[in-house]
Amino acid sequence: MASVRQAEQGSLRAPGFRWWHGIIIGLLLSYVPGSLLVAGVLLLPLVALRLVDPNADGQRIMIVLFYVGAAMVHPLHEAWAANGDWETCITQITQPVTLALDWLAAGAAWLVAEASAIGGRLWNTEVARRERKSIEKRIAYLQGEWMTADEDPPAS
Amino acid sequence: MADTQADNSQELLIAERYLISLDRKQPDLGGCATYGAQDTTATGTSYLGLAPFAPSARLSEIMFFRHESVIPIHTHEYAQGALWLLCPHPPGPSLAEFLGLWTESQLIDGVIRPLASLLQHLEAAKLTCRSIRPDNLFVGQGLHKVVLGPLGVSAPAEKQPVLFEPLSSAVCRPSARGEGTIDDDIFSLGVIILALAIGKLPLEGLSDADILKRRFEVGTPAAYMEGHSVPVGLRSVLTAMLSDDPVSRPSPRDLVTIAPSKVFTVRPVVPARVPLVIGGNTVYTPQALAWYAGRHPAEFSGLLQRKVISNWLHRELELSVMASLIEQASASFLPAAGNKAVDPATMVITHAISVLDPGAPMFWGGLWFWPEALPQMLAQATVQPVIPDDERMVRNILSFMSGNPDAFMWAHLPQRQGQQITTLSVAARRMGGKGGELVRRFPYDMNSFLPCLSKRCLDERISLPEGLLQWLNRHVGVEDLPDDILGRSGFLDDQMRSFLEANCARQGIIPLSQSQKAGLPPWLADLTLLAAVQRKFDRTPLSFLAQRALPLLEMELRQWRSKTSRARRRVRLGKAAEDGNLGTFLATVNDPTGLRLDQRQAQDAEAEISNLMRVLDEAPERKAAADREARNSGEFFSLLTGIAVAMASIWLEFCR
Repeated sequence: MASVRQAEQGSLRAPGFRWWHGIIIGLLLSYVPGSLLVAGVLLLPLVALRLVDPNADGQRIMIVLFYVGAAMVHPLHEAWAANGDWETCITQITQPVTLALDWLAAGAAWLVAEASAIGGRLWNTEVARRERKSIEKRIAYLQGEWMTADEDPPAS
Repeated sequence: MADTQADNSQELLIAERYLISLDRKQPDLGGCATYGAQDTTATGTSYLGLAPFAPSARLSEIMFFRHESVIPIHTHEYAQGALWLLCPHPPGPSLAEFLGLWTESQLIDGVIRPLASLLQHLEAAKLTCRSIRPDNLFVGQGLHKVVLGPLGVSAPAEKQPVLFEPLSSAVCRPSARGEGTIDDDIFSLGVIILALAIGKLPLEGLSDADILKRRFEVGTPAAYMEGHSVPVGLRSVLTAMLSDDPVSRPSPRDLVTIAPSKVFTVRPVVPARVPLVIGGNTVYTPQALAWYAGRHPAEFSGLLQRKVISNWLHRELELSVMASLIEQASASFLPAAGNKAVDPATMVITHAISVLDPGAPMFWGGLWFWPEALPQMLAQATVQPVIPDDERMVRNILSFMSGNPDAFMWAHLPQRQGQQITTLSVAARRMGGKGGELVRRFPYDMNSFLPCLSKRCLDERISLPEGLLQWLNRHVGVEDLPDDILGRSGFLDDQMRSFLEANCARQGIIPLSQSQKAGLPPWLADLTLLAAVQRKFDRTPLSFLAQRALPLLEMELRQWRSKTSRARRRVRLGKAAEDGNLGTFLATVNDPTGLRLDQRQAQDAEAEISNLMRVLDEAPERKAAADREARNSGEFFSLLTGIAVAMASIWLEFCR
């Protein structure tokens, strides 16, 4: 069941918002608006990626999410530690180092994903090339063994 | 039987015991080349080494025949496939050197009784002698007792002069005389007695044709004894012995018990009151007419058609039965029928002659012959044709006679001829071949001592198959056998093939059936035959032969599809050729199971190649799929690193 739903979700172009997403966001907005602000600001690279790269699918977003999440740990911790203090939250999202880290994390995620895809493709090509070479070698051997005459043109 | 040739090649050591000095040629004994020989194991024992070319077919029986009046065959050995007979020296010079004048009692004790006793023993053994002639009779120094040369060392009666043969075989050419009967030997004995009694040969100086003519004119006894002072006591026995009618001749038993002046009665030959003239010759007896019929067939058939002959027989000879038989024979005359195989005209003459003289040999196709002698005639015609077309003619006669015995089996065919024709046709059926091949095999099948008649090895007198193999092995080089001939007609010629096949058949093996032979190139069929012979008779390696066949067989290896198996088999071929075992040599190439396996593997390989080709063709499609996969796995990897980074970040934040 779960896999079916995942597949359904993956097939949607836009992230499928459900009514309970709204409730959760509403609750967060009312109880921890500071933290939500920090999270929202720090999740902006995701939105940017979504807009810039049309190929970015759910999986790519997920990858970037983890990297961005890694960058988000510290500000959110700070925000949490300050009990959602509005000022602290503002400070967090205006800190250039944090923002830079956040964007860099998104960029790094994208870079790593692309690079590993390219690497995988290269690896595959190499494997295919080797395979092709061995097949050609086998064909040449078989033809030499079975299809050539010693001194005359092939009998068959 | 290790045969070695001494270094100087003038001495031949056979059976590691008998040393034959090829340079010490002796006078021919029994009609075959003779050399001095020694037994090396017993010093001082000297023998004669006889090199018979085509001995009697019954030599194996004759060799065990012993009699005091005949020089025994001590032993027989083969040297390089050629037969050698060893016999002791004759006791003295032959009668051909000096006849002498013998008295009646000397003749009775020294010639008639011993030879009659010999003939009696031969008759009991169902053998004939057919070699009583001056050059084959030997007299010890100072003795008056003759000893006959070894029997069976040449074809029966082949060396007999016309003078010493009864009319029934004298009319035939030497090779066509056949085994004959003891009566024929009695006749020869009679001639020798006459010659010894008068001190010279009768009718001396006349040619063979003149001798025959004279004998037909007045009868042999009269022709031989006319004008000579024959002892009175011998006159009766000689007249009987020289009689042209075999029934009138005395039997050996009569002669063994002969006493001086014993009287023999002979049924007198009644000549015609008025002679018949044929070809300018006057003829008084039916026998003479039969002979002249053979010499002037056209005139004879004219007389036959005009019923002159039957009238003559009826009126002048009062032979009414014979006359009516002749009339019947000429009634079947079909004028100018163009059947080549049996010319009816000739057949009628054959028929008429057998009626006229039942004791005469068969006359057919212009030849006088005894049917049993046909194989020997063919051998002789092959080796030494009398006329250019001899071999073909004899072959046709033999082929027709063995294939259609019924054509000759008319009611009055003399019994002896009938039996001989039946024997021939039975032999032909047993051989089972057909056409030229059958006829070629005939001489070899009928005479196991006959050497291979191929022109290439005739001088070697090879009569053993292993001998021929060894000879071939030595004479297989390019100079003896050029490549184009080898490719076209194989290793053997027809005579060699027939020789080997006859020898194989004698051992009960048939190397190749007709149909198998048809599908093979000649050299391969020959090799198969040679391999069979080698397996059966001789294990000696035939390396040269195999080496010569190597390139040809390597061509055959092309049937194999696999390159490595070709190479492997080529190596094996080379090794087998060195070993000289033709069986394994051939089996390397002639391997149906291996070939089938090879074909199947070749098909498998073809299938695999097409499979692999398809795989190569599908490569782009698979590449797209692989790219997608690569992207997925790359992203999975990125996800993992992302998770790891996130965990690390959390760890840094909270746990440090």
